[in-house]
Amino acid sequence: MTEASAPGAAQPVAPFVFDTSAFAAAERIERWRAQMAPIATVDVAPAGARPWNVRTQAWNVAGMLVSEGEYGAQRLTRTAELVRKEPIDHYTLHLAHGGPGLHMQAGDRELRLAPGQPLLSDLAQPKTVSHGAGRITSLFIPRAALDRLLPQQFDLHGVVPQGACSAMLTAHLESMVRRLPGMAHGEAAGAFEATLHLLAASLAPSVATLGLARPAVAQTLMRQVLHYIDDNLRCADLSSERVCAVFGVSRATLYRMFEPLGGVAHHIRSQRLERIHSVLLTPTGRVFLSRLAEEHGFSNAAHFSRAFREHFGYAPTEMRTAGLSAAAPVDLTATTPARWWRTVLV
Amino acid sequence: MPTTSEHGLVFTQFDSAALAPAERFDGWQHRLTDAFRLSLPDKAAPAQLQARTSVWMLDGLMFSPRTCGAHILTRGAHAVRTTHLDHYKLHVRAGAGESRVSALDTRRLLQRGEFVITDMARPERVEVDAGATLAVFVPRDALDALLPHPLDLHGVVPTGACAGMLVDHLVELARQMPHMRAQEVAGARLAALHLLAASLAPVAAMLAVARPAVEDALRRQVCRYIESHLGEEALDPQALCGRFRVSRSMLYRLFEPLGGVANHIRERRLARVHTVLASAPRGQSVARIAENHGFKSATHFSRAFREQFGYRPRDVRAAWPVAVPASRGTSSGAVAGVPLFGQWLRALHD
Repeated sequence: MTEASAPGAAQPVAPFVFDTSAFAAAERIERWRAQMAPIATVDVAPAGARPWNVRTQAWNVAGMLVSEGEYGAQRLTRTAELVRKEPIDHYTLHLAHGGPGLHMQAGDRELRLAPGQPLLSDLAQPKTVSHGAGRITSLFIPRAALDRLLPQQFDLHGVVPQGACSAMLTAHLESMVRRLPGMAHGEAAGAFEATLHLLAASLAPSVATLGLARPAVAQTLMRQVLHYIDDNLRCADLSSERVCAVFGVSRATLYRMFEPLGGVAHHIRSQRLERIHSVLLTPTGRVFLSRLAEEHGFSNAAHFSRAFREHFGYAPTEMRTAGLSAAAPVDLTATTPARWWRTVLV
Repeated sequence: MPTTSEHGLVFTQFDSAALAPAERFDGWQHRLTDAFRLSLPDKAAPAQLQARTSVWMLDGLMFSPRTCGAHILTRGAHAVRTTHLDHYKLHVRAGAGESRVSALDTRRLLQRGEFVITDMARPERVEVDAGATLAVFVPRDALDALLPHPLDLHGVVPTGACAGMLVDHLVELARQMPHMRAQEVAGARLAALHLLAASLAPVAAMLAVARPAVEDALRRQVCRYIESHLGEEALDPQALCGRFRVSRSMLYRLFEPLGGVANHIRERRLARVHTVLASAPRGQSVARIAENHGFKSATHFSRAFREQFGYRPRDVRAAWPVAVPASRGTSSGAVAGVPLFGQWLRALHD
């Protein structure tokens, strides 16, 4: 693990940066394809007038990934096979700021959207999105976070937010990406909640008129298990044995399912560490670290400290005392894409 | 007069241009109710006053976009005691121009895109330059529920990313309100509340914890109890001590900021009598109404009423709904209809 400085509630959220302009033209598309591999396959039209490039920044806003960048014209395809292979359980919202807008084929819904109009889709279903060169904002929203604000489950794959709150959502996203470079960790949860409430309100007219109340995608076993783990991080006795018992699967099956995530025990532990980390970033009153760790199944304090340091690169006790140094951008162009997506989206 | 939007939301509008020049100042003061006293900067002529305001309700949160000439709004200790609003107020500088805010010993200068939070349980004074502003009245509980612990927010000016996002959100809200449907209101309101709470996160560590939070909560409970028992003769300090199991000295300390507990009960009773007088059928006797609110002596009641409002009980009937307190040095305005803004403000604190 590299040296990292511990963030505090008052410190800015560090952006992830991905920029292909440093590479030769021929290599740019390959770099971008590798980066996007867990999300979609990338097709690019034959070289146009402008050199093709991707220059984007992304922020982890309390569990919602917000990316903003300049993209060359491209077509992104999320195949059924990729959906099966990558257990990413998020909605995505795309907003094109100029040019010809967005085109999306999502199941039997075909949509053409003008710039400034957001479009929601579901990463658990196949789709094709294409757009011309220009500035685009994308959100990756954990499914459960949005679903809890809706009266029932809807099929939200290829849905256009509507009404006054849709205009408010567009203005909100413009405002957020402009202000994210100065956003403190302690503010992120509120920005996330505000986004969710505007999005949920802007879906109300669509779900009422479009008859979207058909059940959403059948929950795959993997998604159910991931939700179960997420809901039970605070149970000290959450373990692979318990997951096997609850879902009636064998140890071997569970292990095979979680192999891409580094094993089930590893996944539970890193999710717990992430949860503790986010609690420490919330500007509440006093938090008793030992009790927080214990609630999340770490009965041994020394073991917890070591695991935390290994995962984040700094000790939990450093977080409270962290100074106000600027947030250093993390260059994604140098990391392993699949692993990065998993840390931010799973 | 209340109007209905394209999608059935009720709002009110006020435009000084619709009034004769001589009536503009009083008309706006009337609409602001006793909660705020309106004054003008030196050399400004009341007849030249320009004010265009609207008021929307979003599930208990009151949202008021305004475009006004230079003016001063004061909420003095007396108004705090008599209008008794358990709200935070945001004053947002939406357009060009500045506002100068005094909240206790804090003085802040607001510029375009900034806002100040004040606590309506405490006095304040805002000098507003000409231009576009927004006022938002947030029920205390609605914001406190989103804060890690109660904070002393009187005169706080948040400046982080979410503060900017909140201002952008409210400016867009003013634009979108006419197109908003009833089922969207909750989402817009909750987004505003979450952004407001988040805007306080960076400063939370630096702010004082609200004056003993437990005492604040207890006082609110007692106030709510008083409000719902104003008509009972037995309502007095002793009864409250018994009901809430606190000592007399504790109760007195709790109500010191409100001018003492007995005084507070009397002021609230008089305010209630005022409301009843304005709406009761003409046949009902003033003495009876006063008696129903614990005033046994008619002379004592008349004197107390006059001290609090600056005019006699029977003047309310004669002049309502155009009565403007004489203590404000104004003659009666000429706004037709019951001031909905005032009704809402009153409805808000119950």
